[in-house]
Amino acid sequence: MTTEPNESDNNLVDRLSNQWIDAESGDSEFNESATEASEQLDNKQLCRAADVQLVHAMLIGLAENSKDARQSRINKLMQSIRTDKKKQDSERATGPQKPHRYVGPAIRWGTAAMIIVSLAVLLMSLPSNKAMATIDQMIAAIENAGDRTYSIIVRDQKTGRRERGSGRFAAERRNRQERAIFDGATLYLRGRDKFVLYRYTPSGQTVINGSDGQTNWLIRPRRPVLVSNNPQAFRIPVPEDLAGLLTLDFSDTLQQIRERYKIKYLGTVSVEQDQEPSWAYLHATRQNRRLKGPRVIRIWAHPDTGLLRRIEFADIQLQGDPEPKKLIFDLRDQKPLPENWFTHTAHHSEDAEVDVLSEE
Amino acid sequence: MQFRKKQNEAQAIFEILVRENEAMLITYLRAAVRNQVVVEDLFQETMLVAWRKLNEYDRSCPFGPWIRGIAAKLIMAHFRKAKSDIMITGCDTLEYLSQLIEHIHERPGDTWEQKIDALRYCIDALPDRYQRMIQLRYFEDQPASKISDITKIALETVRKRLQRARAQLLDCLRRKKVVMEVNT
Repeated sequence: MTTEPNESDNNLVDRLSNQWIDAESGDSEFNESATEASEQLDNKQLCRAADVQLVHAMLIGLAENSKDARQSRINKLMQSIRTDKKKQDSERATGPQKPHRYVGPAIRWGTAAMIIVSLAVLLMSLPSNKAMATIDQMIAAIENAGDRTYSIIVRDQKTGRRERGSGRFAAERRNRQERAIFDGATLYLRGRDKFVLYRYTPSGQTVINGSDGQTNWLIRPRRPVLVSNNPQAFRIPVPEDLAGLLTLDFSDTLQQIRERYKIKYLGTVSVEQDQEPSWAYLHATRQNRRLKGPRVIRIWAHPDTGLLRRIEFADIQLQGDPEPKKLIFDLRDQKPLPENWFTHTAHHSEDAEVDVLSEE
Repeated sequence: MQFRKKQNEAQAIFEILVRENEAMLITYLRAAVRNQVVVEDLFQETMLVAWRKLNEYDRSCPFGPWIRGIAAKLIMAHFRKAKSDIMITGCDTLEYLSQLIEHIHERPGDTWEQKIDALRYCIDALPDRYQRMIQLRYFEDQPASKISDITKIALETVRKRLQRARAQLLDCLRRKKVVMEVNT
């Protein structure tokens, strides 16, 4: 059956339907007769009523269009879910003495994994236009960005724990092969081409790489400061998985992600401890297994300005570490830095030895 | 500990899905249920049931119809309990409504607002007297009786104008292929 318009039918059903929509609490006359009248409607008329009611619902939604109302609806739901979970947990813990079937860790893990797989499949079916627009906006924002300070965090992919000072580093110390590591590092950025990266060795020594846009420089403990005009000089040893993808100038990174990843925009969400769910969230999945790069990259950005708030590279293999890791760049500050911050002189004593390498 | 972490991860992903489907589901509920307090309760209940039953969800099927299926059962249960509430929609109509919503959901656009953007155009295309009614009724959230007081127009006329305004909006949305004629 289809809903072919018929004016007299429509008038009858529209009257009833609109009375339903506009009835007020005191309209007892309508309340008494409406159910009876609606029972007389045939399928075609009921469909017409549904059409009108849908228009009414769309109008309410359009008029509401308030982030606050929607946010409070979602917050309330997520609170209910958390309470529901706690309630279920406590029922399990203190629960009635009714015998219950033992659910082993394998089943619990299986169920959790199944839920995550289901959700992940659903995420894949979400639209991508807005994602591309957001990436473009982020790239454009970097051009004019002021000073930004990012914390770099490395977490174990499986446990989510940070693994600073593990046995691996102790072994390195014994072998005097200490390397500066990414976890705990700080990255300072200005515009597209100026950066300073502070990394630390497990024994607390500082290694600083930087560029003022014209010269690259490197400061290591107990060694001369190295300076070069070669843009490729003193490159930071990025993990192999990120070679060609991660540049400290995030605009190239975002451009690569745009070309090589399937990106979904998943609405505005909070970032970990933040209370305000005000960051646009993008979920990028590698389009082709043969391409290099992490399987999944997650990005949070300011929904209006495109400012990169956080970027997470999943399943990264760090040098000398067999366990997959998450590499995270998290915006810590936007305070203006000293004018000379991106020159090497701002980071070493005046009497430090400086070797300027010639470009040959 | 790791199991809990997995659960938290699932919860975070579910929150994203809720955000993606919130406007769609609330529109469906509002089209079926008049009382806005009940609409909000049913939204919470539907999403909570979906969360609890997520491992029963057949992931080869789209999420929207599944969640509206849960909502439809809760709507019917509500009407069975609250007999005094009025219901023009029946079980078949809920299914019909679900198909209309699915059609909108499949339209181009990233968000629900973008998918129904044509509604703004349709409102602008209404004659002034109808636009005024829509403005007062929805954007200023006034009941018909209050609109009658504000505009000094008889209550019956206000209701008639609202009815005609909605009918014209429906025609416009059909022409724009936002609301489709669906085989039931």
